[in-house]
Amino acid sequence: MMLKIKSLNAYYGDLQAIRDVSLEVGHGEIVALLGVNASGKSTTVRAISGLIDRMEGEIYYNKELINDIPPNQRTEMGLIQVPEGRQLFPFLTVRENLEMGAFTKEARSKLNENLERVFALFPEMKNKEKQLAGTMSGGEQQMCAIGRGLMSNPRLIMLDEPTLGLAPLIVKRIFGIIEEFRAMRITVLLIEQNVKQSLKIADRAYMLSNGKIIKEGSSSELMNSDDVVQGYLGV
Amino acid sequence: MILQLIAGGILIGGVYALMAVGLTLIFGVMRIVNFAHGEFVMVGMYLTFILYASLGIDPYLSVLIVTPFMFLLGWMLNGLLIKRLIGAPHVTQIFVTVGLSMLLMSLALIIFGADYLSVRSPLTTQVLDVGVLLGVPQVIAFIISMMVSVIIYLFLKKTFIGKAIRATTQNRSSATLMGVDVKKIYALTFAIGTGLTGLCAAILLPIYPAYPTIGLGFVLMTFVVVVMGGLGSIPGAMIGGIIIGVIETVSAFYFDPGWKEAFYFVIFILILLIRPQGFFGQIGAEEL
Ligand SMILES: Nc1ncnc2c1ncn2[C@@H]1O[C@H](COP(=O)(O)OP(=O)(O)OP(=O)(O)O)[C@@H](O)[C@H]1O
Ligand SMILES: [Mg+2]
Repeated sequence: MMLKIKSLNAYYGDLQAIRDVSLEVGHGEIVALLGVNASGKSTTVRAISGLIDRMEGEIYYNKELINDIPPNQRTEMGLIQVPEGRQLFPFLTVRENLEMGAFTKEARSKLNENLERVFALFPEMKNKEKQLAGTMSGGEQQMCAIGRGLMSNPRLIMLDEPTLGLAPLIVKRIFGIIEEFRAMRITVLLIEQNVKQSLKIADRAYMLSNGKIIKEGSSSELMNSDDVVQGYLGV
Repeated sequence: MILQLIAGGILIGGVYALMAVGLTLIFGVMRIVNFAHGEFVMVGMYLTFILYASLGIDPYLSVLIVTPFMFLLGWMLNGLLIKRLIGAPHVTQIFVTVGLSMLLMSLALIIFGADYLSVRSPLTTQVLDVGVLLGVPQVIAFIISMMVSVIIYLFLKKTFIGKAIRATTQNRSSATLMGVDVKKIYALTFAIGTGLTGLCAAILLPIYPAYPTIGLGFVLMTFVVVVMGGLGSIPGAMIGGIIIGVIETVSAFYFDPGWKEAFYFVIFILILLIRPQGFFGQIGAEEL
C-alpha cells in the first residue's frame, strides 16, 4: 500500500470533522473519495498532508508512519496535495507559481523536465506564463494548480475537487488528464462530488458522509449500489 | 538654498528608505507590527561606536560586522519572542514590541549614559560641490542604501528563496504544501529586516550621533514611510523614504525641528484619508 490511514479522527477546536476514517491507496491506483458538502473530504486530505492541528489515528505512507512528519517534509516525500479552490499565489506569475511547485530539492532538479510535461498537458499555461495567476479564469487557475502539483514531482497526488465550478468541456479534459497520471506512474487520491465521472476513471472509491466512511468498494460495485444511485446519481 | 535642502533631504531619505524596506518586509511577510525597529538601529549604532572606539574600526568597514550581527540578533529574537506574535492581535504585537524597544532603550541608557556619541571617519568632513554641496558621508549612505534596497528587491523577485518568501506572504498554507518551511521563512525575513537596521546604523553613525532615544524618531518616521509606500512594497518604501527625507530636512530649516513629528503625523493622516493603500499598495493585495 502506498497510503494507509487507520482510524483517523480530526477536529477543528472542539468540533469533530471526521470520525474513525480508514482508507487505503495502492501503488498506481486511482482512488476516489466521494461525498457531499461538509462530509469531511477536505479535512481528510488536509490531515494526510499534515495541515490539521488536532487529530488522532495513524497515517502510513510507503509503510512509514508519518504522523509526526511536518507538512513541508511530506511534500519532499512526493506526497502532494492540490488543494480545493486552487489556492494559487495570486500575485506571482503562472511561471512563478509552477516554479514554486518545484521548491523541494528533488523537484528542483527535475524542474525543466516537469515544466515541459506541464506545458504539454496544458499548452495554455505556456502562453500565459507571464500573467499573474490571480487574474486568470477559474479553469485556467485550476490547470495552473494541477500543473503546480505536477511540478512537485508527485508519487501520490491528492486532488481536492479539481473540477469544482468548471464548465463541462474542461471538466472532461481534467478527468482525461487524471487518467493519464496512470501512465506517468503517479498514484491518485481524487476528491470529488462529480460521482459518475469519478467512478468511471477510478479503480476504487470511498464514500464519506457526516465525517464517516459509509461505503467502500470497487468503482463498479459503487456504481451499482443503491445508496450511490439514489443519493448522487439522481436516478 | 531650497535646492541645497532638497539635495540633503534626498540623501538622508535614502537611508530612511532602507530602514523602511526592512520594516515593510517584516510587516508584509509576517504581518508583524514591529515598534522595536528603531531601537535595532540604535543598537547597531552603539555597536558601530564600540567597534570604532575600542578597535578603531572605520564605520564603513564595520558595516560588514554590524549587519551580520544584527541579522543573527534578529534570528535569535524571532526564535525567542517574535515568532509567538505571528497571527496575534496587533495590540499584543504592539505591547510586546514597544516593551522590547523600551528595554533596549533603558539598557542603552544604563550602559552608555545619555551622552551623544559620534565617530569620525576620514570622510566625515569632506564635501562634494556639484552646484549644491553634498556631504561625502551622506552621498555614501545614499548610494549604499539604494543599492542594497535594489538588491533586496531583486532577491525577492528573482531567487528561489525570494519567491518562497513572496509565496508565503500570499498563501501560507499553499507555500507549506510546496514544501516551504514557513517558520524558517519568517525567521529569515525577520533576520533580514533586522540585519538591514545594522547596515543603516553603520552608515548613519558618521552623520548622526548615537544616543539612547534615537530609535524613537526613526520608528515613527519609518512607519509613516511604510504606510506612504504601501504596506509590503519595496519600491514604495524607497520612494516614501526619500520623500520623508526631503520633507524633514526642508521643514527643519523653515520651522523648528521639534515640529517634525507633527509633520509626520499630518502626512500620515493625509495619506490615510486620500490613499489608504499608499502609493504602491493595492487594497487587499500583497505587493510582495
Ligand atoms: N477551518 C475550519 N474550522 C472549523 N470548521 C471547519 C473548518 N474546515 C472545515 N470545517 C468543518 O468541518 C466539516 C468538514 O469540512 P470539509 O471541508 O472537510 O468538508 P468537505 O467534504 O471537503 O466539503 P466541501 O465539498 O464543501 O469541500 C464541516 O462541517 C466544516 O464546516
Ligand atoms: Mg472540501
